[in-house]
Amino acid sequence: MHGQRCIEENSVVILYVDFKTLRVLRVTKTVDTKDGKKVPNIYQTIYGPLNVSEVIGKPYGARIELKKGFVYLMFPSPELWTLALPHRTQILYSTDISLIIANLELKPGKIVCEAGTGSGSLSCSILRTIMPCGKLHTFDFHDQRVECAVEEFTSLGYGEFVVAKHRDVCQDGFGVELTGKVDAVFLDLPHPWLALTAATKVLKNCGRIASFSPCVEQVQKMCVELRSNGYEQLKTIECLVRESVVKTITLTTPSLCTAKNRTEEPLPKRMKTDGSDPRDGGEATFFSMPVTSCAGHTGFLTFATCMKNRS
Amino acid sequence: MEETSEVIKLNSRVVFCRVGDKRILTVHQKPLYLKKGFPKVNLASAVGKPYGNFLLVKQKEGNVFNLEPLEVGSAKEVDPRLEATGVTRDNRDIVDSSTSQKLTMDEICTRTGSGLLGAEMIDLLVENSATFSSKSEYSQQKYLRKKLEKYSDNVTLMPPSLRLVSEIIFDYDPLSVQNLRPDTLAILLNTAGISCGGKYLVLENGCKGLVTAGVLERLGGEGRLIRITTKKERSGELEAVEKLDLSKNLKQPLISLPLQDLECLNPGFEIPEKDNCFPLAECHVMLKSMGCAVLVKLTENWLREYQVLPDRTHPLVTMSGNSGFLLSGIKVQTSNAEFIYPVGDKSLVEDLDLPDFDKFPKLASATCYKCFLKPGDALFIPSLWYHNVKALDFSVAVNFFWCGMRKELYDAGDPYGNKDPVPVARAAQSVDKAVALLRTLPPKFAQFYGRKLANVLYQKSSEG
Ligand SMILES: C[S@@+](CC[C@H](N)C(=O)[O-])C[C@H]1O[C@@H](n2cnc3c(N)ncnc32)[C@H](O)[C@@H]1O
Repeated sequence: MHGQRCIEENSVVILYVDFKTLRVLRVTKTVDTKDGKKVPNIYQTIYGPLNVSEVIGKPYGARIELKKGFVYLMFPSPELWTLALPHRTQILYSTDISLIIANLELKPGKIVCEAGTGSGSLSCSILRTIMPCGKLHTFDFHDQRVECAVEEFTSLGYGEFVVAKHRDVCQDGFGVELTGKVDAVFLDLPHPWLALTAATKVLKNCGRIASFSPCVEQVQKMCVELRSNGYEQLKTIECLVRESVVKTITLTTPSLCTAKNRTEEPLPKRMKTDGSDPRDGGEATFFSMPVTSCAGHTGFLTFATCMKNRS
Repeated sequence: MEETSEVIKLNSRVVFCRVGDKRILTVHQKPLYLKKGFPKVNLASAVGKPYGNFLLVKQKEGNVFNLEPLEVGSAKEVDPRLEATGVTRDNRDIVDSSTSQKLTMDEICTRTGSGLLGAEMIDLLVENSATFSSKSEYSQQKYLRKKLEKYSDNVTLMPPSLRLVSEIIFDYDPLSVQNLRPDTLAILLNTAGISCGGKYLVLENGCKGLVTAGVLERLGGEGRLIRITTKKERSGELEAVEKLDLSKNLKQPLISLPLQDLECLNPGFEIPEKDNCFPLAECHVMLKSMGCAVLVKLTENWLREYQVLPDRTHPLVTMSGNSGFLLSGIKVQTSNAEFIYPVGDKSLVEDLDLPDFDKFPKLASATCYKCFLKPGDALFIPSLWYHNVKALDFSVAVNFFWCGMRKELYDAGDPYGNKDPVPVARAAQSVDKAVALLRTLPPKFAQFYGRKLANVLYQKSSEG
């Protein structure tokens, strides 16, 4: 994946239009019309049409000039994928994902079980971290979601590191072949405790488990079950990000010179970004403040270690 | 890739956890002195056993304790009494008295003969405390915790991991790592997209090597980590890496490079972390104005931990109020023409080895590719690419120039095609005329219309 610097036919590209508009672009020279004809693949953007076959051979990060502006062709990193992917379910976002990866102690070579797969937002981050010797076994009881996920994992280049299966993990577990072989289990299910016996079966001694639940009632039930199943080091957290907007501002100091005198001075070459008139005096400083509206809740994350009998 | 061995080995490091005490120890042959008033612990007695819970068992000789594996269910990280659903009591009946503990310290010591108590002895303490049952839940918990810290004989041994190492170092003294909280480190490593086989550059100051350790763990022994050092490394600078007990193979991607040896910085991602936001706000403004990165974000994270017990779930009563700040962005391609100060057929930058960044600040954003040519090598330079050649020794070069456009478009007196093509040279004369005309306007107007025309020029010349 690191060697791949240039966009090829059938690559997946994240089209950066502006900071709010990220789109998944599949690089094919032609597309099929409804009546089965092949026509050149033209992708419409607010800046004008993009002839998709032209992006072949361009490096990731390349800027493409369109009629009314430009777009960037971005590498489909898990973070960008999370922002652009087609939603088939609720998905996890990058902050929760980062904490899950760190608290499950994931690194190259780890064997991980995940249920449910959902839209695969978390799966991609797990895969990037455990590649190339690790393996992700991901399960969902919704047939189509599994199918879509498999197709996406393959086109993103994760195919050989993931096994995606259609299964109800609460009823049928993670599979006998994984018994005692798994380093970490992640559950994003409405009733995670129903999958706990199955998780305990596949986890190694000192393996880690994580569960994401939006509601506190689920967390409470899960923690009781974790304790009675021999899990220790329980930790429940909630994490929110706060983004800041940054600007250059000029703090004006009242000046005694009148407005009339002032206009004699030549206008400065560069205007301050906030539009204030630097001739008012004062110093330009950097100013940052939190954005006025941000996510207030995503969910609670519960982590624990599976302690097994060792005799 | 290697398997972390699942049993405890001699001379390896383990995470030692006891109530209120979490640290990293090396498994030595000799019993270890842990803290004042606490007997020595013989970690070697756990060698060959799987990680997990152990019981401290007193040996006949000397005040030394061995570790014996405990089965699941017999150890309780949270004392069951802390979990019991109790009616919330108030403290109206509590009388403050020094005689509330009916057992004296002497009695306790004679009973154990060791100064260390198991769970039964803590039961005994609780039973003999006149005030325990009338304490409020919160003070019962505090009381039990204090007693457990002193007397618990339960120990958990875990293999070191970045999670545990970063928690231990942060909990010990957040300021010693500039408030680099474990959750911030987690977000930093993911945002930077660290994965096996990648090439990364870390410039880390006073974080005890936590970032370096994190990147190394996720490289899994493959790829490259260049650690920029600004001064002579003191011992302890890489404390986190040492604590993580990485094998030689996993440390192999790491090389250190003094800052002064760096010629050209061309990072793919910029993810500085700071405990206050002002320097990052300045970087944020710069990154945006250079246009070399997208999704430039300045963020902090708010982390709350919860006590989750039946009927008693609530956020912990204290929390960290400072996560530090993260600045992130993704580098994108910019047109080098904006950064290399081209004038005529040359760049204004005279010395590429030691460029004057005060005079040419935009040059820092230009992408530069370097290579060494040996006798017999050929180098293909595509049209419109500026280049700079330096002979390291006596050398002869033969250049060949391909005309990509029709012959008559090139300047006849320029065999290398370095000069602007004929139509461009003519257009430049028209631009000079246009500039002279604009200058007759007041400066504000000249600037506005200059931009307007430049846009027209750019748009129309790009159209088919
Ligand atoms: C919220 S989504 C998971 C989203 C995912 N973490 C992501 O980031 O894209 C929950 C998924 O769990 C699946 N699911 C629910 N119960 C399940 C069960 N018993 N076995 C397997 N999958 C289940 C649902 O079909 C759904 O797709």
